[in-house]
This record gives sequence, structure tokens and C-alpha cells, in this order.
Amino acid sequence: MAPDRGDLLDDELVLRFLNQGSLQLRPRFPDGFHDQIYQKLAQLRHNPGNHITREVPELLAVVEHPTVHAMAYSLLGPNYQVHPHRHFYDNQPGSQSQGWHVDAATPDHMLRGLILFYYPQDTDVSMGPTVFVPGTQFRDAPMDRLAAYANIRGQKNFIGQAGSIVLLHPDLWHARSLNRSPKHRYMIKFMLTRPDEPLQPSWRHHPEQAEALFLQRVREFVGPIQSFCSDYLAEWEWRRKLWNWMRGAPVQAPNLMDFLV
Amino acid sequence: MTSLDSAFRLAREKLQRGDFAAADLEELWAQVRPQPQRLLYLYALQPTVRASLVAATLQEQKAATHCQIDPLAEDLPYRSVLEAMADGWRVIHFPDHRAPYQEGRLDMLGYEFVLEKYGA
Repeated sequence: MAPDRGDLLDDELVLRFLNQGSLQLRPRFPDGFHDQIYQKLAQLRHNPGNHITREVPELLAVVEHPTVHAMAYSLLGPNYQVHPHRHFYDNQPGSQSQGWHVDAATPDHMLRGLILFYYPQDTDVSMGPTVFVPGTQFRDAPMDRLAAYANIRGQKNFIGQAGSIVLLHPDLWHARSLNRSPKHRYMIKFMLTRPDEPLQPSWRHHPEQAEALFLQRVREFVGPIQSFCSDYLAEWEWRRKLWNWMRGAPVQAPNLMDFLV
Repeated sequence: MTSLDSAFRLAREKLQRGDFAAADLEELWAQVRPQPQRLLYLYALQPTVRASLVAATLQEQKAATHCQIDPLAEDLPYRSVLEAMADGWRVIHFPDHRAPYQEGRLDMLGYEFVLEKYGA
């Protein structure tokens, strides 16, 4: 069922996702909901992998929440699907970090899926939050090479209150970081997929203002300080390519002049 | 004169005076014995030692596992490769100036320099 139009993302939020490669949200749930999930996860004797929703069926309410549905619908279109793959991650006290990685390596980097991370407990920087590098979703990055990096300038932490959810572009660089706290930091991953090519925008799109907003937001994100000289044009053009693709608009030839103020 | 030069000069003097002891030998050995190699990978915005850094990875024997991503890291240990060199790191690998390049594609972040230092 289509979400209420008022619940859909607007151009501003879609552009934020397009630039950064992620959006964080915290939908409303009944009091005690997240703690109940946390307690059930804590009692698991083994990691059930894809069957985590059999062990903790309340998790389905997360991925089916109207706010999540509206965001997924906005970004992936009306025919998006919840993929059967899901996973429970327990970042234990004293753990080491993962290496940087991507969950997919989409050859053309178009948005054919979303990764959803759900955190059932308050997560702060001491608890080994998921770290990510905003804007890296357009890079061809073999995971063997990604493993060579430790800290990257501009990396961010996904932190927030219990019930925080993050939607990620599957090609965004991210990793579990080291947990210095005495607490377990849990996270459940879901995957959402897009089976079709976009024919029109599936969010609250205002074409008369959107083009100017697109140029403004991309300029702000991919300014001279944030990137590499050789990469400026490519950073812009990848965002325009995805923006046009998501709107079902024709492909445009690269044109540096469009981005010059 | 390096500290090694001074240590040997002192040792020779003691030897001539006839008061070179076992403890002196141990002290000399402490200065010349092989030290573990530490590697520092620095990723710079351009393939020059003066360019700003975008990422850094320290690899050393005492590290528990592979490189660690620290959510509390406020900044990288140096601003440039040159600054790391001033702190005693020696560059042992420079990035290729003519890197593979595919028009319109984006790939890894930064040009990779590898530096080494011996000792703790």
C-alpha cells in the first residue's frame, strides 16, 4: 500500500541521502518495545542468521513500520521488496573493529537496494558504533584494498537512542568499530531491494525547484575542501546520474559548467 | 655525531682505561640490537609529501589484530607525510605518479605512502 503523501521524503531529504549515502531515523514505537527486543537477543544461544525474525518476531515490526515503509518507498519506488537475508550482529565488550567494507558493489552505483540497520539499545561512541564515510557510495572500492585503511578523515559514527535506524546505500563504506564499553552493542541488518527501473520520482518531488536545490546541495557537499581535485567532476556527475536515474529522467552528458557558480 | 657514535666512543675510552664492564656491553647491545619494524600507511590528497592526509593506518607487531577503526579518533596523527618524516618516519614507498585512471570513475581515497620506523 502506498504511504500517505505527507509521510514520503521530500527533495531535501532525498538529496541528503544522495550526497551522504545514508539517512538516520527513529520511528515511534510503544514504550519498552526496544528493550524487549534487546532482552530476547541477549538470550539467544546461537546466531540464527536469516532466521532471526523467527526467534525474535517483533523485529518484523521494525522493517514494516510506516515511517520505514515511507522512506523505502521514497527511495526504492512502490515495488520495493524486503529481502530474506538479515543478520544479528553482537559487538561484544572489548571487541576489535572490522575492516572497512561495502555490503554490495553495484557496478553502476544506482540505488537498487538499501541496507537497514536497527539498534535496539542506546548507542554511544564508546560502544563500538557503526562508522561510515559519507559520500563514498560512488567509489569502486575492492574490499581487499579497503582493509588497508584505519581511521579516515571525515568518518562518522551512527549513534543514537534505542530504536535508531539507519538506511544506507549498499556501496557506502562502513565498519563496526572497537567497543570500549562493558556493554554489548546489538544491531540487526535487513536488506531491501528494488526490482525495477524508476520511471518517475517516488517521493514528494517539486520539479520546478528541485534542479536548483540539487546543484546547491551537491556543491555544498562536494566542495573543494571535501574532495580531490581529480574527483570533483566525477563526484558531481555521479550524483547527477543517480538523481536523474531515480527520477526516471534522461541521462545527461557531463558538463562542468553546470556546477560552476 | 649520532648517539651510536657517542656510545662507541665512550666504550672505546672505557676499554682503554680498562674499566669496560659487562654492563657496558649490555648497554651497547641495547643500542644496536635489531628493533621491530613499524609501518605507517598514510593516504594523501595528492602524490606529494606536502599534501594533506585523508587516512592513516599504523601496523606494528604489538597490535592485537589488523588496523583499528576508532570511533573516538578525533584526527589523524599527522597533517602530511612531511610532518611524519619530521617525527622520524622514513618513507619506503611512494605512490605511482602515473596511476591507473578511468575517466569518470571514482575509486580509493588517497595516494598511498608507506613509512617505517624501528623500535617502540
